[in-house]
Amino acid sequence: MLSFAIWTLLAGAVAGSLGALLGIGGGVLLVPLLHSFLGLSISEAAAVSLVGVLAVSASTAASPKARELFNARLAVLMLIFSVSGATFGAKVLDLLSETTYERIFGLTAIAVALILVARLNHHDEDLGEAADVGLLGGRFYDEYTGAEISYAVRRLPIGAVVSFVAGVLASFLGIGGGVLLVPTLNAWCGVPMRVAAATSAFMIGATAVPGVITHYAAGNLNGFELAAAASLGAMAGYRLGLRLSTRAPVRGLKMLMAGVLIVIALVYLVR
Amino acid sequence: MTRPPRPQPSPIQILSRQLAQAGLALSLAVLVSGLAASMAGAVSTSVSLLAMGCAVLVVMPVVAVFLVLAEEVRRRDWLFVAAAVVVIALIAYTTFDRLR
Repeated sequence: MLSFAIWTLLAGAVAGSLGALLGIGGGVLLVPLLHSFLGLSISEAAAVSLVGVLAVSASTAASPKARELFNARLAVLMLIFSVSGATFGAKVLDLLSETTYERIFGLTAIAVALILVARLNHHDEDLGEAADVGLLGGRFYDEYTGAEISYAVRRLPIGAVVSFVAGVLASFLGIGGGVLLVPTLNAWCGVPMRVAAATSAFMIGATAVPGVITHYAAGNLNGFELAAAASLGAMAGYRLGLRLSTRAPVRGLKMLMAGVLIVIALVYLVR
Repeated sequence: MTRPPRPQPSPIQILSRQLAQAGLALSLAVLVSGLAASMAGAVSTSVSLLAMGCAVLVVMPVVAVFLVLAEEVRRRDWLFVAAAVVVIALIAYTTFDRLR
């Protein structure tokens, strides 16, 4: 169990670092590692991963910089859909076989890899000081460009649909859904990348709750040791990721992650 | 360009930040203690502490939604009050449905 816990701690640290660097919970890497390398069933891996996702979300919520960027109104509106999706996912969790889970995970990993590659050259749009940002938009000071950025939220129905899907996948697969939410909010809804990441990190915490409770009730969180190790790793990894965030080659990291995800997807879809 | 002055956070936003930091510190301390107890062979203590640490992590986002609700009530923005109530109701439904 000790070596399992150490590997889980390291995997959690990778997930936490990705949370800080790319604004995702890291469950999409944590689940295959726990499932394929440590031999947990995919339901157990999903349960442990979701607790790690909660730790990433809690770390973001405690970060003063992330709190400045977080759009609470947008988050709470999107949470209606993501928590509905998670509640629906939790209801039908027992109906799927292990093989079906693996197929869904493989397809999700491919989708996420394609999204990461498609968004490599995406740039945020600034509406300008005088712009009306509407009910859900906002303004924030961007430290990297040294300018105040104004943004409005567009195409809300797309955000709502993706939030619902992210919620279903959170309960099914143990991924927080940030990997779908951040690119959607950024590329389609007009939310700047850093605001999308902070808002998504808040959302994935509440979205993970129905899944964690359902997995706990189903007995997938045996003894809590692995969940604790994943959480502690995620907390440490998040702090490391924050330190690296100004220097890390984010574009290269995205390409590397896309490559890893395609390999993971092939493993799940071909076997 | 010089940085414009930051808007002053409301008392609820300050409370939310303080609770998030306290919750993270508490869960970290309890989980580390639980893993230490596990390595020392104190199984029942370890399970209790680890379960408590995970429970703190589960409760934190729910508390955050409650604080968003409180902030929107303070602003009297009833659309977002209703949204926060729906989110809390959905989480409560799953919790009671699965744990009863």
